[in-house]
Amino acid sequence: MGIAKDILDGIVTKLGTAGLTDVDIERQLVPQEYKSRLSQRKIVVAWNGKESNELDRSNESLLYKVALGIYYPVTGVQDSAKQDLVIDFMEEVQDFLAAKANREITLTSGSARLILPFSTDQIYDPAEVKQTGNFFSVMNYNYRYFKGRS
Amino acid sequence: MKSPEQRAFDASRRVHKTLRGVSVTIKRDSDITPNVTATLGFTGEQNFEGEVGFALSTSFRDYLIDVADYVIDGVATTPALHDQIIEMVNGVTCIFEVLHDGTDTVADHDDTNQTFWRIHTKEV
Repeated sequence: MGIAKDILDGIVTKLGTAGLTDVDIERQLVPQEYKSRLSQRKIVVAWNGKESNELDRSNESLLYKVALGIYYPVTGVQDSAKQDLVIDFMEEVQDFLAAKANREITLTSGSARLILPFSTDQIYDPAEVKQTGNFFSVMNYNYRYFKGRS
Repeated sequence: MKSPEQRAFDASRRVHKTLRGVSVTIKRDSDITPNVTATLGFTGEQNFEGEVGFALSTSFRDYLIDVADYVIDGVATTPALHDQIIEMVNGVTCIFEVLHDGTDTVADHDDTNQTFWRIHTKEV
């Protein structure tokens, strides 16, 4: 029960130990941010789906898909120095979560483990940067959880 | 000499500023020009929806400000990207940043004689 929420909260807690500065981190099930409330960069941890695979009669492997949305206020598409910081920040988060020591997420019941590879699609939407002054990108991760049904 | 149409337009603009004008502060870097009278154009919300349903909402607002009143460092100038227009709304200080509205410009002239700017902003 409650594995998905546990995994998301576990990632939020894990990222809280990453030493990232000037960043808000929170779980949202319906991701929605307001530009006027983004005082600094923000990571939103959201659920993006789940797959179940039966291992045998009593055990199954569950793959939880997690999306990390990165909001990073910038000052336009011409601000290359800030964009460098954005990319650095994204890779800092990726390196932290993908490090072997950080792949395990402790849950209320058992644990889940990050399965590589992870993916990042478009770097940013130029129209959104121009019209909102905000960089946005999503990183996709998969966490595996083994569940006994006996 | 101005045409009758232009005089009528100027008169309506003056009335609009008198009846519906708001006082704003214009800020560019450290240069601040207070007590500028503006009127409001399009105001509303816009959603940018990214992957996986992540959404970012912005409040947008167009300010109509006379060309002669858009002053930076004592000189009437053209609105520029990332200028700030600060307005007290219901006792709350709101900061609007000059940003694109989907076109390549951040400010346009609405009238043929180009006497005032329509400036596109987003609340930050």
